[in-house]
Amino acid sequence: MTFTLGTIMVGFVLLAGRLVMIQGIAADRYVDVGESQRVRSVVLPAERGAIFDRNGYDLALTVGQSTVTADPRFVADPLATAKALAPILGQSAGELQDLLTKESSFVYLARKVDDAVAKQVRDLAHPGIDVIDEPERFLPAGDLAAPLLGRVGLDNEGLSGLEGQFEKRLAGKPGKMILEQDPDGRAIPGGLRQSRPSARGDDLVLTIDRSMQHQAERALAGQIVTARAKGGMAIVMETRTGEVLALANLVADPKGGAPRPADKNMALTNVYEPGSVNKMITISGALEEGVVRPQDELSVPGTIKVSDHVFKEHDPHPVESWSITEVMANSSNVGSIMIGQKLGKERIDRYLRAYGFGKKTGLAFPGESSGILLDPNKWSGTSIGTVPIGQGVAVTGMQMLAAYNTVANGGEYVAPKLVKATVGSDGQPRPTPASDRHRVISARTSQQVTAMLSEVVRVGTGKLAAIDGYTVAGKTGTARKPLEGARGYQEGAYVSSFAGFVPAERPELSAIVILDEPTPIFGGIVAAPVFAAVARYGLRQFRIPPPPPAAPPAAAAGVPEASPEGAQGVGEAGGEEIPATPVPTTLPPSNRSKPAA
Amino acid sequence: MTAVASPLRREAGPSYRGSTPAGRLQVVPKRKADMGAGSVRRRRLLACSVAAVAVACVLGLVVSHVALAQGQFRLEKLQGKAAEEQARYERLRLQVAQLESPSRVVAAAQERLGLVPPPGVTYLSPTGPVSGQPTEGSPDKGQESATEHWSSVKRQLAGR
Repeated sequence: MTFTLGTIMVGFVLLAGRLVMIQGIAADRYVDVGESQRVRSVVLPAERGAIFDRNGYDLALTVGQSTVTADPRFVADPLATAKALAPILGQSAGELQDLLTKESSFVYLARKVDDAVAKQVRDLAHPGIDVIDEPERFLPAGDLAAPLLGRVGLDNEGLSGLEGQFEKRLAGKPGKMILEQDPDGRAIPGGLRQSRPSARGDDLVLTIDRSMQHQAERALAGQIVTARAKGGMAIVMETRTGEVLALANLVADPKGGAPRPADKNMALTNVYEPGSVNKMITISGALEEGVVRPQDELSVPGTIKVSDHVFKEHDPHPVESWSITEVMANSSNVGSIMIGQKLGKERIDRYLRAYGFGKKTGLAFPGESSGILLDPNKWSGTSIGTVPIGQGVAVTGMQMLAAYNTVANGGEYVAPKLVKATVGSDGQPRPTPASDRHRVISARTSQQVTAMLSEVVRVGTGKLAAIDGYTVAGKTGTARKPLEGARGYQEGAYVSSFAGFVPAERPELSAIVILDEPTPIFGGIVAAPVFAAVARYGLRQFRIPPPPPAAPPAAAAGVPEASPEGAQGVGEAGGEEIPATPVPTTLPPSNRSKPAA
Repeated sequence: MTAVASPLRREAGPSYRGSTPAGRLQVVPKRKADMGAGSVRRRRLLACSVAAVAVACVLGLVVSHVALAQGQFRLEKLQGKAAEEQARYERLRLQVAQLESPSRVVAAAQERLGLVPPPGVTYLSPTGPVSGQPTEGSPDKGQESATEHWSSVKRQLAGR
């Protein structure tokens, strides 16, 4: 009896001791263990903001996709489960088994699978296997503007392009939910439930017009194939606001297929020697400074010696008496150098910089180049011959378009713009600040230069840029590509371009087309027609009627017209073997060994 | 009335209480006896009431827990449905965007319908000559301005 009572007492003492241990001394540990079994913290991913074109059409959006995951602790038979999942997920059973036997509570088996696969996995209903939602970024219009939009990583983080540039705004802030769940994963009624909702990322509204972008890419792709070019760029800008309406970057398919989007936004990240399109800057600076007048006649020989080098036209000619307009319409190297010499290197440099060369455009696009512009103090003896004709300087396509847009905009530079507004979670668009502006040349000078550029298209090297019913102003360029890491130029490798705007009387659209190593090489033959196709579409798309009939721009500006006989583009193909070291450009190196036809 | 009342007064008077021998039976005053019986009944009633309330409370608690659990399950079901509908909306939005992408529309127009892009737009100037060459086809239908269109788009998006 006593022994029994003693045993019971000891038992009670032990139980009491255990009770004190569980409820008192080690209470926290047991609470933690209990909570770890039923309290679950779930990250609520933030939805990534969408990217729209200027009219609200989706260019990039996020849609939930299914991801197959596993909690190996609850997988009863890893081998059988792996064998069942392998044919559905398209993976080997061995790999899956390795994942299912990991000492972890969470492993990915297959990320972002399609709905059919997800359903098959759900139907298997294997313990420890789950299908969760994971957001996936889509470009619904395919590759449209892909180099501009950029890429996102597997976890939807922006890696390049606008996705990378606006990562913080687009990504949003993830939320968190803490709740108590039963073993089947259901919330315990009345249990702990704390939630901090995720904040959706802002949407971006671009200045890009989806249809205009498509047309620009289409026209550019067609010419890349026709001219067997290595690639090309086309940019269209709204003259008054600087808003970029289209920005196409394409490269040829080495296997002969359709051109594909470039890996990066070459129009902002790559620089090239502009060649003859740069003559507009030389001549506009000279007109603004009063160094030359539109009606001045220059006696232009076929060659000109600068320092120890003789510059010549692409096509030899005797001494000609050309007006400033004819120098432009002819794309005369010698005439442009003569005007450049009159302007002087300091003022040439000042105008180049005023037009936006040598510095970034302000778009803050990832990898954007400033271009290459030497300090006048570092110019060589021949620089006063090369820079006025667009050699020894390197610009991005966007910089050159902004320069031509300055003339179109009455002499006022307006910085390019790519993002029109951001849209917060309240759905209200918040416009981005207006582009920076500064005056480069007077309205009168811009009118004179416009008139000269109109003559380039009417009778000069840019005839193929003409659009029926409209007056187009623009300039052709055919520049040789510098060697990579060495002095001199690549044999037979040219960058051809056309930059201009329309309607010349009241400019609404500015555009530039650049082709890398086309055949034939001339910008007036390969780039100008693309300009015409793109601008013609833009005029229709944005409902820009021709201006009322009036005097031609040349007459209106008091600028002498160019004679059709004299405007033959003698200096069109620039890029002589000159002693000055050409600036390194970042267009892909040539892979041709023979000169272009 | 007086004769009946006087013994009661006498018996109830304090002068007799101290002289009553212990253990002897005595007459319980009528009022006290009545009060005792009522008290027992009231106590029983109270006990029953308390028991009933307790049972009702327990039952109510059970019912409320059941309701809570049902509500929780319903909430989860609704949340799941909302998530499903949101996912469906996103998929449909993607589908719409893909269907109206320019490359698909152009391909369908050209390959299935045999359409070609118009070569240009002819503008008629009331006081001047015709600009451009008149061609077949009609201009696109008028569309609302970008701002108006955007407002309508955002109204939809704001409701997400």
